Amino acid sequence: MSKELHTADCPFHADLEAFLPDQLGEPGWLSQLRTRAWNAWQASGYPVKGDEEWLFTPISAITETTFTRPTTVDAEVFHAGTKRLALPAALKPSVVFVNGFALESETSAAQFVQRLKDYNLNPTGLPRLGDLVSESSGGFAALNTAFVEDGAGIVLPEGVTVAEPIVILYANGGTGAPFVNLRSLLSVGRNSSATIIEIYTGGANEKYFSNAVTEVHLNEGAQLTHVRINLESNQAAHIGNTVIQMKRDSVLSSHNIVLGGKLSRHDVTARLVDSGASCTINGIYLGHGDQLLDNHTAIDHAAPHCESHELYKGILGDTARGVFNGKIFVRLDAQKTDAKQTNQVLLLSPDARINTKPQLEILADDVKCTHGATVGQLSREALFYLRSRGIGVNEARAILVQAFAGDVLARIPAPAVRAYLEDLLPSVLPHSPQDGK
Amino acid sequence: MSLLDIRGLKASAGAKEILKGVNLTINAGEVHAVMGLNGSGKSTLANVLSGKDDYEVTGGEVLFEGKDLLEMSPEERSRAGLFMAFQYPVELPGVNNTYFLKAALNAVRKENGQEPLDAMDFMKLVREKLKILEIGEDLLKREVNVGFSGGEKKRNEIFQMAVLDPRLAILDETDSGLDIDALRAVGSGVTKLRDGKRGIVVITHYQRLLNYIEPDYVHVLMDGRIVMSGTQELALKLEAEGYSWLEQQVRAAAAV
Ligand SMILES: Nc1ncnc2c1ncn2[C@@H]1O[C@H](COP(=O)(O)OP(=O)(O)O)[C@@H](O)[C@H]1O
Ligand SMILES: [Mg+2]
Repeated sequence: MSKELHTADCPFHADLEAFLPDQLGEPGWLSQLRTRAWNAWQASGYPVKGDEEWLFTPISAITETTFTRPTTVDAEVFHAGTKRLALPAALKPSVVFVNGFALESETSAAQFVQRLKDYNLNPTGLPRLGDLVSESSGGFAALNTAFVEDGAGIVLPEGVTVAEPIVILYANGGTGAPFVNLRSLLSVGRNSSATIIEIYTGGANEKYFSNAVTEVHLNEGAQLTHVRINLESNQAAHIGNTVIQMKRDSVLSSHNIVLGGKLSRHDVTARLVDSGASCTINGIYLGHGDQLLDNHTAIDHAAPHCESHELYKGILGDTARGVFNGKIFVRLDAQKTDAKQTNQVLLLSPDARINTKPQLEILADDVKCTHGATVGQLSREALFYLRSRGIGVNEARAILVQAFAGDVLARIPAPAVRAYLEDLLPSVLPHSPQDGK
Repeated sequence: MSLLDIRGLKASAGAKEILKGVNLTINAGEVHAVMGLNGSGKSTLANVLSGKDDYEVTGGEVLFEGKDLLEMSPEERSRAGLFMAFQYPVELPGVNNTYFLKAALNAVRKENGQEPLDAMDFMKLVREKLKILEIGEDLLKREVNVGFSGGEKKRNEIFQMAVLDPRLAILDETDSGLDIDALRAVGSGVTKLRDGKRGIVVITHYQRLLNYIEPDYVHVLMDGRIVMSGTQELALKLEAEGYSWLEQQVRAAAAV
């Protein structure tokens, strides 16, 4: 296929090499990783027309903009983002990055939280950057690996329980349409447990491109609640890749809340590599205006006796577009797999669209695998019932939309985050056309 | 001024004319029963009064305390003091009953220039009403009508009515599908809300609920018109003899 296609179309592509960090003084392994990733990116380039994985997701928001390399760390970007987020004290970030660079004034020394910049070169026994995101696959993850300079490293040793949520905040934007690469490395040691929140945000209408990668290691018996909140600017492009590796008897509860971005694409991949692992991957995507929100999930059952539960709910108003693609692989050895996938979508406007597709590939023969998708509108009967009790039409809609999204939020096991999102959601609900009196 | 004044009301659904000129006047404090066979248009009358947009009003007018009811949105009608206990209450998955009631009550209060009730005062009010109606508090924690039995749904309607304290309540077959205990509970609930000021319209096609709520007037709706009005005795006669004598009488009158 013609790899050059978008290279020529993309104004900032020619300058991309200039985004490569100065590798002087960098540890060798990192330089090597960077070089391999850069080569992989050059080989793959942007997704081209007809690419199955990008069929419904044009990336013109990326290719038609000239982005620049951010240089200074502007605290204003942080303030613009936090204003929209309105985080409660219980969710004060442990570490803040502005356009990918640490904002020292907002970063406190928290246990187990480090910066990737300081992350130990090549320690034995600890996960290394890039272990899970293979640069050979190219694409935006390789682009991220080629450019990454800092990020959050949260590495929990064996046998610790961290009760309070650890919050990582990535605030993006500012002048000059920055292209930012954001990176998290999360690792939960044997029999340890934690709640980690990653938040991506920016001022309401700023143009930028944030390209994020998160690698998540769950060791034997580890338990992680992972909440990923995307409240990027409504003009931003956000591409996210989250790759999770789950060892024996580990438990993941992952919740992906997509609210922002003109184009937001998130690929979450969970590899269940040892038996007894259990993952829940849920999501809510709320789109309005002309947003395009794409969620791709891939659950790779590579070991027997594992389970996966997936519930995504989309709410789309105006001319918003949604894409959901749910892959489930059950390998030959993965007997007794129990996998369930559901995507439910509420279209609030006749011009909103969803493309939803389950993709199951099952090689083992003794498994339980179900999937289902529903697409519907707000119930007229329900709306009328609420209005007949004096509740105004807008409030009635909001109540029904919240009720629809509510059961996904209710499944978030961290009460502080759940309560925060229950407050946040109504303020960002998509509108729907009025129906007069 | 009467509470509700329906004059020559005509309404259709699609091409079908269902209400063919209904006249009915209700004054404050009165209890009216509207009876009629299945399909005679009772629910259509109730739905048109509550503002359901499945129907098109093709003639006549309705005044509620002198104001043009048909011009108002469903929520405006409710806030003005009209309450409909639906024949088929709608299930609202994911909507908590308490939250729902509070939103409804505060919308009505706002209309009347009152401050919204805070959580404590609201719970106090709600518990008081539950007690009067002899309904258990577990109702508050449930999702609106979800998984409710027929009787529970009807009692939830009466409970909402008690909390919203309307000037006029229309109960559409609140008695149907209830066993005798549920019927007694609903009947006594409504009787407790009969306070000499509130207007109540009881729509039914049996006489049995009227044993608990004795109406001041009984009307018979037939093929979209009120064809006879009377008192409790009319209800008893219909119960004993059925509707065919009345149908014949109406047909004979039409023939001349
Ligand atoms: N929304 C509607 N669309 C079409 N026909 C309707 C609708 N509602 C009621 N009808 C018809 O109008 C007639 C009266 O119905 P209804 O008002 O429900 O009667 P009742 O409540 O007295 O049993 C019936 O023939 C019914 O099928
Ligand atoms: Mg009926």
